[in-house]
Amino acid sequence: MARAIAHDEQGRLLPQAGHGDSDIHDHGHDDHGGEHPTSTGLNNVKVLMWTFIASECLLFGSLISTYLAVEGRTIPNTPGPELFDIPYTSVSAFVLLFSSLSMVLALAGLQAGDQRQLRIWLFVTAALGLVFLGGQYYEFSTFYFEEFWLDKNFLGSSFFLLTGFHGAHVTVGVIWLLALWLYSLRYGIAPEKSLLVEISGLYWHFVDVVWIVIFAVVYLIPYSRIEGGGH
Amino acid sequence: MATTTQAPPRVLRRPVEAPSGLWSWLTTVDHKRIGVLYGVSSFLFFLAGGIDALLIRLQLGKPMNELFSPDHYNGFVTMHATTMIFMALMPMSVAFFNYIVPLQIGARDVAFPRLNAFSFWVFLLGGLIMSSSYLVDAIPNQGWYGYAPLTIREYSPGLNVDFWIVGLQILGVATIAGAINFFVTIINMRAPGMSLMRMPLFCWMTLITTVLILLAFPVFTIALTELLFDRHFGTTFFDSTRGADPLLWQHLFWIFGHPEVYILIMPAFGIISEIIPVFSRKPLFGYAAMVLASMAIAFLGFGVWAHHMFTTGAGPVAYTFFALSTMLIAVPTGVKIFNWLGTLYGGSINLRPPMLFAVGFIGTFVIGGLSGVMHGTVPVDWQQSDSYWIVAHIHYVLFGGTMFALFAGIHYWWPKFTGTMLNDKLGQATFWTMLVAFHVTFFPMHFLGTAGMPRRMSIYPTGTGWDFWNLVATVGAFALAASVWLFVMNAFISLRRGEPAGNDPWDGATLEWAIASPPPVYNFARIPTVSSRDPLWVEKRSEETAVELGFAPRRAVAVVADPVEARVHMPNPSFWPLVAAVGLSMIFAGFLMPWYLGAFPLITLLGIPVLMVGITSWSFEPAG
Amino acid sequence: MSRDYPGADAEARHGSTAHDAHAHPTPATYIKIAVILLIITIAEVVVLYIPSETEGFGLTWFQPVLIPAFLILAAIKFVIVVGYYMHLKFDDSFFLRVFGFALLIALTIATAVIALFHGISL
Ligand SMILES: [Cu+2]
Repeated sequence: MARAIAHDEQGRLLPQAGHGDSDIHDHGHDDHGGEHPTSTGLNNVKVLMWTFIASECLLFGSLISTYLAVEGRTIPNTPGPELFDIPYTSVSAFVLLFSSLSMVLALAGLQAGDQRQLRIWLFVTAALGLVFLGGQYYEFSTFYFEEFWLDKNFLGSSFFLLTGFHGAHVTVGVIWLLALWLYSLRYGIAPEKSLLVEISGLYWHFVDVVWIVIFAVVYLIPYSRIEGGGH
Repeated sequence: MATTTQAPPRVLRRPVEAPSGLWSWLTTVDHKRIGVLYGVSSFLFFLAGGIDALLIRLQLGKPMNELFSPDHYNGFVTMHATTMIFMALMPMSVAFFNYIVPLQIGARDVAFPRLNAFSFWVFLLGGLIMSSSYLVDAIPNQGWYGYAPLTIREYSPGLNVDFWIVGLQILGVATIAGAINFFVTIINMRAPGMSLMRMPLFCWMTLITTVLILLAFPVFTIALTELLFDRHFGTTFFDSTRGADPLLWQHLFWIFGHPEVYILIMPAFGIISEIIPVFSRKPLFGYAAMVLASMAIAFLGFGVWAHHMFTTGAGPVAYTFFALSTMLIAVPTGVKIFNWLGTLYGGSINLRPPMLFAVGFIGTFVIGGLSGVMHGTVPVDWQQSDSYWIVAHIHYVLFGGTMFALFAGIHYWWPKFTGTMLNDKLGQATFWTMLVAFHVTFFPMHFLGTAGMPRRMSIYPTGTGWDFWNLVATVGAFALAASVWLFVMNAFISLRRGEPAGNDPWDGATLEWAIASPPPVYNFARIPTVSSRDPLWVEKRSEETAVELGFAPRRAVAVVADPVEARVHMPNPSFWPLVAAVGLSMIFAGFLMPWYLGAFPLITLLGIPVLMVGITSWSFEPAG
Repeated sequence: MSRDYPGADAEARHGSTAHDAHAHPTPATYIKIAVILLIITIAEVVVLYIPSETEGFGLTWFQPVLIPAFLILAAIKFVIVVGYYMHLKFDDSFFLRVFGFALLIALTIATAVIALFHGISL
């Protein structure tokens, strides 16, 4: 659609609709499809998402610091990192990595104008997210029966709060992706609305990136110290 | 969802005439109305926190006073600090962000008007939930810093600490949501030509404040969540008997707590930097230095938190590092002070009430800053830590600093908010009463601290030598209350029969003075084009020159134009931010209720669908 | 997008180029990246089991470098996902600066806290 930019007689920009609410959804406007005339040329919602992600770095940073600050100070005869099942967790880690792949494929499909690709990969991403959550549920319940729980010791508290917080983020992401998927099934998403998918993708990849850090710092490092100390 | 409906382009969705009535306030997304809501509610919380302060001073007015029980006294101390910091000073700064920033950058609204409304409702609900602790006699009483392990269930079994956690979590969400919104607004909603280095300093300080909030508040959120889990789900984050380290709380708290000090003072710096040039009739001295100094303060502010923990035995290396970084911050702060002095120097100074408060700010803030550097020195801190010296310092920076600046801002922008002037004489009286009362109240606390009076005692014996200065401070506190009362009177008189202010009563330099007072719903009928710092000064002066030379004056900032003809487009009002805010508050407030479903609080579980309905409806309604 | 107002130059650095920056990698690149990520993840797990399983082969020297190895491998995966899947490598540098600054602060504070708790003097 034509994006007319109005000028007054001195060549100055006339007021643009985009200076109102810059929601990513269409509002029934002629000139909302493209970029909003923002000061930087960057889309408001995308700036919002990156700002939010930046802020989340501190959220997860604090949780990881908590875990590592008191790491290694387990009280005797309480469960510790020796319970971690590294091969099992590495499968989980790869499930999440692969969901990141399917997420970019969904976006690439949409940008190529291929609705089928978009729908398939959106669904695959959400499904992989659910697989990850199922895996986490199984892992948590195994730990629970092995007497490793959030009220047992500091390690348990910080482990379950950190991984639980991450799991909550995955849950929100899955709901978001499923909503997008249903929306794309019912209405389709126009390629110029690819921002809808891109924003959810940014969130999803960030959640994946956090897991990359958790996998190394929370699982591998403490486990390696047990191994090293034990032998 | 509306790819199908073809509305006529750029119609007026939000009526140009401001609607009235309760419903219009509940659904408003207008940044100016939200600013007024923030301003009024934060001022009411300011009065509530002030009453706490008076009760504290009544109790400490004489030795061996048994007016209040130690428990209640602790409650007043905790709620005074919590209310003032999170429910009065910060939201009052946010009121100015809301009202002034879009006007100064030449925008019609913030980037996300409904998110803005959401922030306000969350803030209000959080504040009300926190304050409702008075009704059930469970006032948070562990101190505003909430040091572990005093806060764990074993030592604080009542709901007191829960009210504190829940209230602060809700307020934290409001703060973070607001910060993201203003960050995007300032980055992306500037009028054409308003480059970052042409922005008014108040907008710069707002931008830096939002960055500080976004980096500091998540840390506090996590600390509070850990405490919440300790109290409700049996985790052991702060329980040293089960392998934890209570110092963890202090670290997390102060990693947030020190940047929080700058979150409180940066908007004040911004307000002062607007007022001093206008009332000195010359541009701000050292604009770029001012911006860079503020960035330096914000950045360094993340590397000093352990100066609050010099008595915890962190070791010489940590002590040296944190003492040095603390003193380093004094350098950019000094740069700012000298820039303000440089602006005053040689200016034609106009001592109206806003300027009086601004100059008063510089004086008292310097005293507070210097006492801060003093206990940034480790051995000195060992002497002063936990004494009344600290109380003196914090009030010099937060009352003598932030609150003076906020009063300066209120007096400065009041004509813009209401269209009427505040009475000058009453404003002068407010300032002088407040200045004298402030120093009478808080300067003696330096003596009390040096004489060894601890900061957290509800009752002190006779014969300590603390009686006299405590009495002086109590008298001063009531005089301070009188000065606030003078302002309230002034405000009511102005609203009833104040002189009309006109667009530009102070010969302002920034865009908000180009438009009507109070501004129309759409702010600018035509988005202005900016080609300089102090755009309005440049225009007014070149206009005068043009008239002198016989040319027809031409204004880039359109003051009057028919908004319908200019095809202004405004967002729709919305009810869903309020619904989402209620849902979010329920999620946290569930932890205060006795009803549980298994391990989970019932209200929390009910809040989740309410929040989801709010967010979903919000996403799918036409924004306007 | 038209930006014919005074001072547009100052901001042209962002803005007008932002649209061209959408030269995304192709799906084939994305799949290659996923394979690399898989290999690194496998490497992490293998590295974990080397020291204990191969003591007899004189590889115990590997134990001290284990933690740095995990951190480096995780950092590589992190950079790849952020750079390619989140398009940070191709997108406007403003996003990189926002994210990078927060990450810098988070990493610095986390390192300092961990060092303080483990009694590591700087
Ligand atoms: Cu501090």
